[in-house]
Amino acid sequence: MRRAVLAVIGTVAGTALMVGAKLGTPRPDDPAAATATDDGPVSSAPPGPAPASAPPAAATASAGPPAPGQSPGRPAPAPPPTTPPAAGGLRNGTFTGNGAPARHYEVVTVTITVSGGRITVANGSCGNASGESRAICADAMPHLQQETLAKQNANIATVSGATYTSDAYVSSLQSALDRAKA
Amino acid sequence: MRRVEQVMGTAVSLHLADPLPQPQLARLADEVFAWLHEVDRRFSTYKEDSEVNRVHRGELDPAAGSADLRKVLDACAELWRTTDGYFDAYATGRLDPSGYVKGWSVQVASDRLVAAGAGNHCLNAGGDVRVRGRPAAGEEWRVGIRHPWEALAVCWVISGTDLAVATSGTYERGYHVIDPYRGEPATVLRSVTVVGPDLGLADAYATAALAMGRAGLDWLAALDGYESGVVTEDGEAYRSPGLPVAR
Repeated sequence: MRRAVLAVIGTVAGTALMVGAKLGTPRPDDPAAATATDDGPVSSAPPGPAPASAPPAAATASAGPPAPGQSPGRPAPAPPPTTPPAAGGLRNGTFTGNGAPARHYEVVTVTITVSGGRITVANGSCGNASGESRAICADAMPHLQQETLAKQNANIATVSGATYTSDAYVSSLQSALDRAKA
Repeated sequence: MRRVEQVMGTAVSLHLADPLPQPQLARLADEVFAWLHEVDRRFSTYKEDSEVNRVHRGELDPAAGSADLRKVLDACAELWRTTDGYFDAYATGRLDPSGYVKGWSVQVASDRLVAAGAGNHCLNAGGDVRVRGRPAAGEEWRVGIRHPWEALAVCWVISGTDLAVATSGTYERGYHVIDPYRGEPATVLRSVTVVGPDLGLADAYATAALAMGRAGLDWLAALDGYESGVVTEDGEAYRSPGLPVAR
């Protein structure tokens, strides 16, 4: 699977000052990945496939589709937090967010369960979606649920990206979080 | 204080981290969302009587429009020049400055928060992020860049105390960015993230680079004051050496 392969690939001809790597690499707190992408400006590197600097560890991740929780592109699973988790200060219990309108998927509602001050379960539901929308939503939801847990673990304040379904999910999640803090 | 609202067709989340009295934080949050709703009313192409649509229909002379409208149109014209025509507010065949407006409006909101004494905040409008100050003493804001194939993963985490982060990608809305020279959707780059001081420019640069395709890598590499991370449709990831990747 192409994006699970970790290898430094040098640079395309003429691309100055961009560091290149095969995607799946940039696991930010993986020291191997940091080495792979921090060799300095690519202009100083020979063109074409990079030599021996590809970390061998990641090659093992190349077989088959990434299993949940093991994708190399994922933030590190529960790194020892040096700071309190972003979701800290939560009351124990189960909290349901407001239903949030999603563009194609009707209403998305998120329920979280807080235990020991951390989110332990995040469930989304697809509301009144039907037919194809329902199928797409059901497919997207487990990913989004894991993202909730991953984001907490990685202590990320927010995510930059082209958003879509996730808008509604984030919105509902936020209101559930606000209830847990209230 | 955290708040999320649906504005401009997307979810906007605000995190105010300053230890100000609750009523003051609530008022600041009210002002942020009131401003974003106002921008939506005035600049949306989906709202019949927005200033942008009135200009499009020839009912409003831009020179007679509001100061903000002139500012946005001037910025779009300047961006058209600095991006070799790849940022084109007319790429879809009509006036549509959305590729600049969302980032610009978030930047303005963030600037106003700083001026009002709330210099520690994170404002995210559908993936366009402006962070200022710190989430807590001794910490930096950490912003994940979404992995373009795996919604649950991030491909970089960047951190800092004063960052504008904009991402333009084809992975959720399809090939919606038009290469204005070919009049066809751009399909070579999967996602482009630009980080720098101004979110309006970062947003527009990301869209322009996406439209450029592979040539966008060189163009981004030569940008002054803005760092970038790019993922190609082939699964290659590039980033500028100065991208503030979190340690």
